[in-house]
Parts: sequence; structure tokens; C-alpha cells
Amino acid sequence: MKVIYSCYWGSCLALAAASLHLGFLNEFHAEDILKLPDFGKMNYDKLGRLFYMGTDMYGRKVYIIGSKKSGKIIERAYNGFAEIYGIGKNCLQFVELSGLNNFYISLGLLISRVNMFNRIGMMFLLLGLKKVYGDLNRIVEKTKREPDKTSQALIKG
Amino acid sequence: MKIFYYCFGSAHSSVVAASIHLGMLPTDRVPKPHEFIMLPHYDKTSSFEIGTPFIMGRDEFNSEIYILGMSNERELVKNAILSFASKCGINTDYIMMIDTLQNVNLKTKIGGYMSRRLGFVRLGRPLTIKGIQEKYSDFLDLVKKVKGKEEQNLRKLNLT
Repeated sequence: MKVIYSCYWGSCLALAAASLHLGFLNEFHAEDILKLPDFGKMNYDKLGRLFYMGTDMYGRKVYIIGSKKSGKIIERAYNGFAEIYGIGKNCLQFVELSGLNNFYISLGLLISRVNMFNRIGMMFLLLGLKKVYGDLNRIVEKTKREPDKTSQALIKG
Repeated sequence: MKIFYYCFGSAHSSVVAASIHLGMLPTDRVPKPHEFIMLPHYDKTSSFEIGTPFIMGRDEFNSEIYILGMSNERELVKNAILSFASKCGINTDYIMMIDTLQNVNLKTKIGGYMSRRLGFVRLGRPLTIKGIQEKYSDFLDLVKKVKGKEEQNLRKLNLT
């Protein structure tokens, strides 16, 4: 079983979700979040590539991916490929988190592109993440408990 | 070997290329409009199906031929698929991914938008066909190259 957390760049919501899933993060602590590798980084070369984050207590491999606005398309493609290659749809749980994106996260990512304003950008990014941290935690907990639910149901629920 | 012809919405150019590959469209002349309309998936794929691979058939080398829509992020989605395949232990040497959007002209783009996005099928569909008829020789060239590469790959992988 593979759990894939997806967001625009893969370096904010998806990274935080995977870290929550694997127990690298618990409560919201800015210092811990900033220590996550590549947090808030926007790397075009890494878009569309799966990064392994670790294996959870049930033996599920946890990945992150930056999928811009194509999360749903990638999810369908993965399900299709899983079927074609006989991997089985139930072996994959794709959790699209772009729905949690907010103004502060977008602003933070935008500002942190400029090197000299990186710290201000990170402040906004953390503020945005803090605002959705409860929802993110809830989605991760549901993902851990109910491996057969789709991402859409999780975000709606 | 699995060959994926991909375009924006898996409704026009990928369908045509896959159909030429499988011998469902002629290679010695430009097909008539009804020949396009009869093709499976031609101008029928909905936007909620973009990303889902659809099988079109098996070719003479027993390779499976698929069509796939990737919207505007074709490079990203392609990378995501290949990344997923390698994480699942699938040998990506057995996968060929072919972008068919390079052969799409403005007429097909406008027609496709009108038909698939706006729902004006009666106006959009003939325009997509007109555009593809104009570029049909490019589709034939593309498929010829793909088949050459497929044969080469199969030989390399000792599958022929």
C-alpha cells in the first residue's frame, strides 16, 4: 500500500501531512516545521516526482508529490496504471491537499521566492499552515484509519 | 510493451494517432469525417475522464495501445506517471509515451474547446475533423516513427 500526499509544490501541505502521518510532527510548532527538509521550497525539477518519506506503522509507504493543479488528473492516471499493471486500486491512496490551500500559503510561497524576503515569506507560509493545521491533522488521521477512502471524500468529510 | 499516446483531453489527436497505429484509419489517404466519428472515444471524452488511460487495442507486435489526457501539464503528469511506475517496480523501458498535441492545429483546438468544454458538439466536432484532416500526413509520420522506435525497443528488449 502506498499513501501519496499531493499539493501544488509538494513542499508545504503535502510535506506537513506526510510528516504528521509518520509522526515527525505532532502539535503545531513552527521550529519543527521549519526543520522539515525543503519546507516551502519551490523546485520546478521536483514537480511530478514522488518522494519517499517513510513507512508508517502499518507498513504503508508514504510519499509526497508536487502536482500543481493536476492532482486529480494524476490520481486518475495512477488508478488507471494500477489497474493496467494489476497493482490493484486498493494498494494506492492518493490524498490531494490543494483544497486546503489558502491566501497566506500562496502569499508566503510567492514572497519567499525573493531571496531577501525569504523569512517574511516563511512567516506567511507558517501562518497559512497554522490556519489549516487542524483540518490537515484530521485528514491525516482519517487517511491512517481508513485506507480505502478517496481524497475527495476526506476533504469533503 | 505499452504505448501511451497522450494529448490534452484524450478526445482527438491521441485517438487519431492510436487509431492509425492500430490500422483503424487508412495510411494511403485522408479519412472521411464519418471515419473519425466512428472511432472509439473520438470527441467523446469528458473532462472528468482526463488522466484516465483508455485502451484502444493491441498492435501487430502485441503491444497494448492506450490514449491518455494530461491537460496543460503534460510534462508534469508524464513525469508523475513514470515516477509512480518506477516506485511500483514497473520497468519503464517497456513504456512509450508519445505526445500527439504537436500535430494539433488551431482549428482542432477551437473545435475541441467548443465541443468538449462548451458543449457545442455540432459546431465543434466538424472543426476538429477539418483540422486533423489538414494535419493527417503529420500524424502518419508520427506513427511511422513510433512504430520504428517500438520495433527498435522490442529488439533491444529481445521481445521480437
